Amino acid sequence: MLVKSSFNRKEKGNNNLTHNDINHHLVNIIFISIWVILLLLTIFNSSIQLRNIFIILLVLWTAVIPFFIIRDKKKFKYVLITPATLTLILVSLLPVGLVLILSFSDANLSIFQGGIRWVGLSNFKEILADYTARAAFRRTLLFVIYTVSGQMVFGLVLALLLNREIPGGGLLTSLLLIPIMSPPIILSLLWRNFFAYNVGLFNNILKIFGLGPIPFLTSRTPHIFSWLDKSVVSFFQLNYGFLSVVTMEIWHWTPFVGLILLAGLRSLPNNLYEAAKVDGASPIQSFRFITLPQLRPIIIIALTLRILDAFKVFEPIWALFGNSPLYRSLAVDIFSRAIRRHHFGTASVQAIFLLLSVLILSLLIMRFNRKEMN
Amino acid sequence: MRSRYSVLGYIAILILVFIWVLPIGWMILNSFRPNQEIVSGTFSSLTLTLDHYIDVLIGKHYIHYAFNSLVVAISTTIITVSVSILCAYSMARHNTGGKIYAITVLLTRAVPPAVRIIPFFIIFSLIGLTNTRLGLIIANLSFNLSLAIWLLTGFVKQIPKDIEEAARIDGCTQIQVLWKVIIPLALPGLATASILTFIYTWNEFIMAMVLANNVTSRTLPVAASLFATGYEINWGPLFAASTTIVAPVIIMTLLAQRRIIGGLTMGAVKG
Repeated sequence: MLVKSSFNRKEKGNNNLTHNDINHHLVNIIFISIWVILLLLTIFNSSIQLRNIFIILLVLWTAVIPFFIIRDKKKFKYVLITPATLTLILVSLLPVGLVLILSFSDANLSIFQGGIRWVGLSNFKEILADYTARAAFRRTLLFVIYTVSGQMVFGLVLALLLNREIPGGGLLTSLLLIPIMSPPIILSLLWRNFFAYNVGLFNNILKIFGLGPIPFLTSRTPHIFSWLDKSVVSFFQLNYGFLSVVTMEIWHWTPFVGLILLAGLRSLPNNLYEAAKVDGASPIQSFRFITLPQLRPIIIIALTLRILDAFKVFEPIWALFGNSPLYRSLAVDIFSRAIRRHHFGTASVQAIFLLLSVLILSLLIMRFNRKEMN
Repeated sequence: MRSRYSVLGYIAILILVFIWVLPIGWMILNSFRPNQEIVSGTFSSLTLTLDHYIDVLIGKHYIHYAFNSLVVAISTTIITVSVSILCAYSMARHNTGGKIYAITVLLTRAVPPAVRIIPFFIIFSLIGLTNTRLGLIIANLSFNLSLAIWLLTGFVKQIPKDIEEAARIDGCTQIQVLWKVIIPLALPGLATASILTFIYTWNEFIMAMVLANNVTSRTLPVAASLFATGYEINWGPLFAASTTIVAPVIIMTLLAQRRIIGGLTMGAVKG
């Protein structure tokens, strides 16, 4: 109400503009001083519960204040983006900045007593030389390659199969949505039961067919890869544990790719196919020469989303293997280093590597997409 | 020939879909079976019992964790959606901040949670926000805000400008246009953004494990993961707890199927 009336007042005319201006300045001063008081109360408050209340008030006030202070109608658009921008700065940009700063320090638990030492680039050297960290990075890359290629292939098959008028098609697609939307940690724990050695579902099923239990969650090499050189096997992480996580991840996200590609398939113009049919093209030919090229942009989009997501993999590996160094992805290694061992400095370096891979990839793909659209 | 092919195709689809449905169905079924039956691997006998649910609901502060999850998810959703509709309107209509702002918003989504946990852990420990629901809400804003802004920008762009101009001519102020024209017309978008934000926050694990890992502030996914620490896992209660966590997600997914698919693919097409 206050805002509305203030806007109306301004529209009425110029006769009492000076009077209004003074009012505005007064109001602004009051609003800003309330903000300062809230800020001071938040910082200098010993009671944690009270402080939390003040933080909430401060945040609310910060969000509301531009509406009252900025009354120029042309600047209204900036008022609208202020709350979101401030929040994004506070919860995204500042943390990333802090990670950059921390990577040059030897921060550990003593940081909470104010002790911090700057060590230059030695964290970077340490991480580059650290076997676990390097293995985690390689494992993450392999994980991205394995899972995303699997998801794309199966997702395309799924989309092609679903792309027709079928009874109950809507229900089928919503059933496919369930694994996409379910908590990854819960699904991973479920698959931990499937993979379990003695009591797991897969080994129980194998038992019915008289096949021996397979150690799904160990670092043993499957027999089909036993002819390969040991260094090759360990470089490509061809062990049961890693391949099990990869299988699970392919299962989890194939519907996602499938549904996105299905949306793409449904938007393809029908006349192309009719023309191809008239020209006597086989289904395989029309798939190869019409569907794939037409679907290219959306395939790239699905690919991007999956790659970016696969880089962040945490829950499946955490649920299946916990903190074990044999299976850590980059994210799990960061967690283990920072939260379990409180080596914030080196963990920050790893975080920067992860961030850079993801950001460079997204920027590259955005650029590529723009070219594609043009 | 043609009909046989489509019957085969239909069977293939059914089999494929069951690949994704069966594991979750298995989890729900097993949450009603006694522990010995789950681990024995016999598929013949089927005893149904509610013991695990009673176990889970009575012990281990389950109700409190559920309350935490609900509070965090609902607050995050409300804050995210209300903040992002303002921003989205401004970006869609006035192109505020231009392309650079839009790309920055998009890139903040790409920042992995594993990167955020380090600064959040340190800052929250310093100001006493660890192990509070408030801290978790703030942390969750970071993932969801940019997605919601992105989705809603798309939705607002679809609203015809004429309606807005007509409202302006009729004497609406800018805030009234937003409140009386844009928000009602963007309701489907708001619903989509709310549903996605709610589900993502409900599912969120890594932040919750780092920032809220005690009895007063723990959320359900973290509580469920605690069933699986140690060598001997108590599968029955784990499945029961998992089922209660997945149930709201399944219900929301089945009810809002169209919106979720729309949201996912729209985010995809624009992203």
